[in-house]
Amino acid sequence: MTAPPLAVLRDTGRNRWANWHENFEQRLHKLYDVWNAEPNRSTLAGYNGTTRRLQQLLQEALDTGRSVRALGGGWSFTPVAATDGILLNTRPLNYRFPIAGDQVHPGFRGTGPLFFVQCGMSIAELNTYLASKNLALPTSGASNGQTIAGALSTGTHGAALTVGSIPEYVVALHVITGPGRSVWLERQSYPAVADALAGYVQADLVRDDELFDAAVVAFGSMGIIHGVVLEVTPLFRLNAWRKRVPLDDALWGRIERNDYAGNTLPGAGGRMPHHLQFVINPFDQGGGAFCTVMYREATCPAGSKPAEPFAKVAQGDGALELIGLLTDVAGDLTDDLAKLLTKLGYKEYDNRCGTPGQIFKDTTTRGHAASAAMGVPLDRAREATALAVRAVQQAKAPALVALRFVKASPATLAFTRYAPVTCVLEVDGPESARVRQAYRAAWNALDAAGIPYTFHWGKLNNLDRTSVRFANRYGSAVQHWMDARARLLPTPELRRLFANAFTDHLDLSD
Amino acid sequence: MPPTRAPSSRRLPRGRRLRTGVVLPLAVLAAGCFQYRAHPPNVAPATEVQGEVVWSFAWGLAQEQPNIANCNDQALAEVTVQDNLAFSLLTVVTLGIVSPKRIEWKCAVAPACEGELRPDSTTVPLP
Repeated sequence: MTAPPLAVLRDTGRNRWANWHENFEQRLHKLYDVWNAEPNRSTLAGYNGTTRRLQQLLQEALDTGRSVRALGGGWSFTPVAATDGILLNTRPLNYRFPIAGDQVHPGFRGTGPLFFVQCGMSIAELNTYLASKNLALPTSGASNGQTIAGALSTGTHGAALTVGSIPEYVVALHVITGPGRSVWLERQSYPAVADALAGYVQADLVRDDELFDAAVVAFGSMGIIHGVVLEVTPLFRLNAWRKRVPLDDALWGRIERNDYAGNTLPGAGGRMPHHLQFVINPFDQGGGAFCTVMYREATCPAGSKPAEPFAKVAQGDGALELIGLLTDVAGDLTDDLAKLLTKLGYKEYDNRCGTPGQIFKDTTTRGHAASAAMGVPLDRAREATALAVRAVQQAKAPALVALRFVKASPATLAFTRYAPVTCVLEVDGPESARVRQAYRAAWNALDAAGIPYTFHWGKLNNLDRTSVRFANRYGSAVQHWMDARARLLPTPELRRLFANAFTDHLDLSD
Repeated sequence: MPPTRAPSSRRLPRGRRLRTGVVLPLAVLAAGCFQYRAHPPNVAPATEVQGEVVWSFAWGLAQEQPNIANCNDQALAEVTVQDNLAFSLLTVVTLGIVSPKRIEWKCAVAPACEGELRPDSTTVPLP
């Protein structure tokens, strides 16, 4: 009998951390890389050893009054995952365990195979791993660099009309809630694995819909999500088109009714879209919006071309910073640079086909970017889009306005909360004064028009302790979420341990 | 939404022209930094970026190597080489006798094999 091999915590020696998009920098006490003791081989003993080491660290943090946050891909544009205390880089934690048939709960109502994966596993790794088994994630974001726990915790979404966001296919969480406890959390209404598995990871088994729905989108403030169980789907292909189409009355009618029967979107041929996105260049709408539409198929249709090939020349790392700088100094350049942005990022194509991992590849956007995303009910999406476009035009901001459509999520603080489908209205551009000005103008215009909207937790917003509780945002859901947090973290010290400036700002810390 | 075109003026006012003509090139020079990145597709980085400035001497007769000690025996996911105006000038002024570059890297995640979620009889429960 031997003790579980403890994880290795490597002190990076840093006291500052910047997010992927480099639009903020966080001062911190320590940044540790967390490595499993046996990183090349997924073992239950190794997993439990990592739990144990993280719990030791939590005790040290409690003793010294520091907060602790688990860091995923670092893709958020807000310091939602950051802390001035101890930041744990969880990306090296990528164990994976298939759930065997005899380990599935007898009451499991799903159809997909189940996998237990460690928090740091990236969407790219998951795509590759699952494809090797002829399986796939039901949906992901538009790129693949997020970790599964990080993407989950901020409610990251793609543009899948009937699937929803990442929390939709997470059916169990293993959450380390303090130095002496971890919890295996599932929905009572959707049990996933046999009771014994919670014991294997030395966690308390809790089946509770309210707790699960609260914890699944909690941006790291309910403990360290160490592992998740995913319900995956047979491998499918996406048959993709990107063409400019007019966003006319007929198309807006379909969007508002969420009715795509008999649609004439590029490549439809009688098919219903699986993924639908429009990108508008506010300075060049004559040719219509860039419509990216994908149809889900079991195999690639005859005559389709492989997913976009390797591009020798891509957007430079400094491109966004340069565009932001140029347009801040000379706003008259915005028209041309916005066109350049669309040329770089939204090339038209037709009839491409590939697995999700082949379609949603490595991001090419690096450095000094800004992004804001608002969830809007479908019946107000047209009005909201017009206001966002106008705000960008008036600020002469080099930004693009994108529309995606995501099935509403039952997670307590999901920003995709408007049923049946939430329109995600996104304004993306370089981190610059003009883009920030456009954001402020768009939010003021939405408020003035009385349009209900939510904010993506990982993107730029102007939320404060009052506005997050507005009835047309989260209303009473905020209190439900805080009650759930108090149940998982029953003492003020534990709630403080996983709080940060972001939760303090929104008065969500206690 | 009916297509609209934002108001745009091709003829810049005098103040703007001055700003564009003088401030802009200075700003671009200040920000200027060339970067070259090598990374295989779909390989997830495990760590934050680490880096150091390395020097090459006497046209390559001797060179510094970056000290990559943070990867926990794993491979690299990404390597970036950065150049900037000062590095380039130094290389030109010294006729290549010294030539600095900044090298940055991110470690790759371990290629973890899948495991079985079963109790290991050799492992004791956590205290």
